[in-house]
Amino acid sequence: MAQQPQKPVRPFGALLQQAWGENPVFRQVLGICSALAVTNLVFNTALMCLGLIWATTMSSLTVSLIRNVTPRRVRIMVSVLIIAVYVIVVDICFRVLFPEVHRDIAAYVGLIVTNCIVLGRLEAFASRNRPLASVCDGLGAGLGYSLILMAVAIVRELLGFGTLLRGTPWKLTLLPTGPESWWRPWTIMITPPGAFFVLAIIVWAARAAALRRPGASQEAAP
Amino acid sequence: MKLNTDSPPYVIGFAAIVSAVFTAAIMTLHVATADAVRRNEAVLEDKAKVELFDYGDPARMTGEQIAAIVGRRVVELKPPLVDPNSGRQFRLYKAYDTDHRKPGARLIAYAFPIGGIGFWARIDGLLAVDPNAARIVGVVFPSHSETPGLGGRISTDKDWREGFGKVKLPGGVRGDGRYVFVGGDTPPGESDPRFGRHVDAITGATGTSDAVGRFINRDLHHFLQALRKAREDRPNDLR
Repeated sequence: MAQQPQKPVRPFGALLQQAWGENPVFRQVLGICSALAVTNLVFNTALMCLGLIWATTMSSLTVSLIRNVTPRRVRIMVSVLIIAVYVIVVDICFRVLFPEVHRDIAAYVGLIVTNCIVLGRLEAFASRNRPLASVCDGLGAGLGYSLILMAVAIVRELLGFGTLLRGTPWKLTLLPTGPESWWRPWTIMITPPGAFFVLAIIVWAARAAALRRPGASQEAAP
Repeated sequence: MKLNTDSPPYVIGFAAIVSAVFTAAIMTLHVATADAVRRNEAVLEDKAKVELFDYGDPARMTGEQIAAIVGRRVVELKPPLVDPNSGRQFRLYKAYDTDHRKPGARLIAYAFPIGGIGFWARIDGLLAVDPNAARIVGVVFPSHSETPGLGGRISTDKDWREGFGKVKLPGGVRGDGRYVFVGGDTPPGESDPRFGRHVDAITGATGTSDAVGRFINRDLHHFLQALRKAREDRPNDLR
């Protein structure tokens, strides 16, 4: 039997809620694996974020469209199948358009299928809400994930390499990196431990910012 | 009439239809992009050769420039080399310092495919040795699925790969059966049997480093036997 619809949700409210209020990374602590692994280059991170935004948005739309005809007992299987299809589409597009980036982040693109953010939004929201609200919810979750990942990636690439958009024609060298220069790249920033430090600081700052909102002390508590 | 979505025939039918529809969509996309993917793989291999033979920075070249350089300076030997002991065949790429058709073109390296199972999946690469097979010139890994940021640095960390360029190849396999040692302490001096054959592991990626060391030693062993045999049988082909 299909789930009973809950009270109507405002689409824009759902988007904002996922992008910031219930941000999947700093509030729900989801998607940490890829947040740590792919964020040493801004361009790779941007493509990973686009992949996740696409997967969450389209999966939410599809699951919502067929929610009333999906048998409850196979809904998880159907959800995973739908996510897998959209992730394979992302994988094929990267393979065609950005083959070198695909080689570097292919393992994590594939793992979007099992990303808790995507399956979580399908199960918690899209399977019981209307398509427009579900699209906004999925989009918001993807944007919320991307917001944190891009912040981590900018700090890591800048301190680790002295550049932004390294490996692309739009590379910006913002800090000198030659042997005679005053700046020494922080090698730790391009290795996974660097991601732990940066992510922790950004999560701390974001949660502190959330706590500053009037009446937010209760809801922002871990 | 209300649809009974919990009845077994409905569940089976629904699952079958959903699977068929989505699988067909993916297969269509896969077939439609197959040619583009093959072209990209060829470009990636050419880029790897440009980097391996130090013909310039492939990141600053267009696909056409890369293809032109590789077309002029790299020649694939046909038929391939064969290791007389194992029967294994090796594609051999001869790299020249300029257009190979010019009279003064000088052979600078031989390269051959290497590969094996890494930490997650297969790693494929090219290893280059100097024309006397006395030392490794370089190594590249255009295809792998190692962990991004960890084992994935076999393709992105040029400094690590340059460590292989310092490895000297002895006249034959020594008693330890290895040409290269990947990982472990840096040899303190010439008395250490690993001296001149050691490359640092990638930090945090011991599995990938071990795998790379394992298949490089194996493939190099077979390749050098195949090269020795080819030098006896068809020395002119190798110039």
